Amino acid sequence: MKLEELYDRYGEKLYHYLTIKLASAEDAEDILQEVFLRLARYSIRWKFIRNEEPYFFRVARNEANRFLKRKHQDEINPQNAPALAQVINDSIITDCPDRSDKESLSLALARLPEEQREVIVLKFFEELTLKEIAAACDLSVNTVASRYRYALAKLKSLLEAKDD
Amino acid sequence: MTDSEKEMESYLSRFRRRLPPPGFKEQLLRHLEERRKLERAMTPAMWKIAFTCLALIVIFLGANVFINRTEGRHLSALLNIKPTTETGIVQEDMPFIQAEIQELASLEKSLQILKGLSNQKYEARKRSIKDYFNLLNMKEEFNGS
Repeated sequence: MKLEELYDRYGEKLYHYLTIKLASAEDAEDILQEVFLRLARYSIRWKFIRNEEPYFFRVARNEANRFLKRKHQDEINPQNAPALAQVINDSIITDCPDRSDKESLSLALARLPEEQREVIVLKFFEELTLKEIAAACDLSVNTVASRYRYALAKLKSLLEAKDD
Repeated sequence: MTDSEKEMESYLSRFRRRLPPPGFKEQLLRHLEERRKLERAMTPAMWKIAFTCLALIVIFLGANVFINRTEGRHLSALLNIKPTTETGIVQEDMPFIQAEIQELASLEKSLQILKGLSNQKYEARKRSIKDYFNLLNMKEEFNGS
């Protein structure tokens, strides 16, 4: 698979995932380059991988974690939630005419714990199944399912709190 | 799955990811191609291996010299051997050796003089025998005539 083909299949999803994970479109672009270079370097391994998509997300996730570690920032600072909410707001679209709906969701997503936000982003925006998310995050399916349920409940409460 | 979870799922499904800005793909692929060209010449792993090998060689050579010196010093101390120069000659013996070399040089000179004298003597002897035979011939010629 050539790099262009790789981009056509997964580039946009990976870029979106990295943008939210790193809370920065510029950093996401840099890390996406690293991910693609890494994938190109070890392209011989692709033949032995049954399900490519979770594998590529796993490479992207590891690369992003390494980047955050280098920056001594293992997790997005909760105090930076408004900045992250802005990044999320810029990176999603909706058919819903009410703009405040999107802003509320962005803020609620930004306030979620990182591991729960990651599951929601991968499930709804990158369209991965829970099994694929488990493979991408190196977790058991049960752990991912539990994080997913907790995330939905927390999102609901955050959105309701906003409405009140 | 509870009703509230289903409700949240349907709410979230109304949102989609925004596509990257136009030209993003071309820009990314161009950057990737530039970086791959650079990497093809020498990968970071190859650089690391090259530097490690070089460092190991330098360390090995340095350690070898250091160990040899230390070992020599320890052995000298253990066996009570006088320190030697690189040629293996005991430093304290150097004046005597130099004196002997000078003596040998003067002996060689004497030998050469003797050789010259002996050659001269031999030549003179050869010449005197020749003269004797010449005289003998002259005498015979005189008597015969």
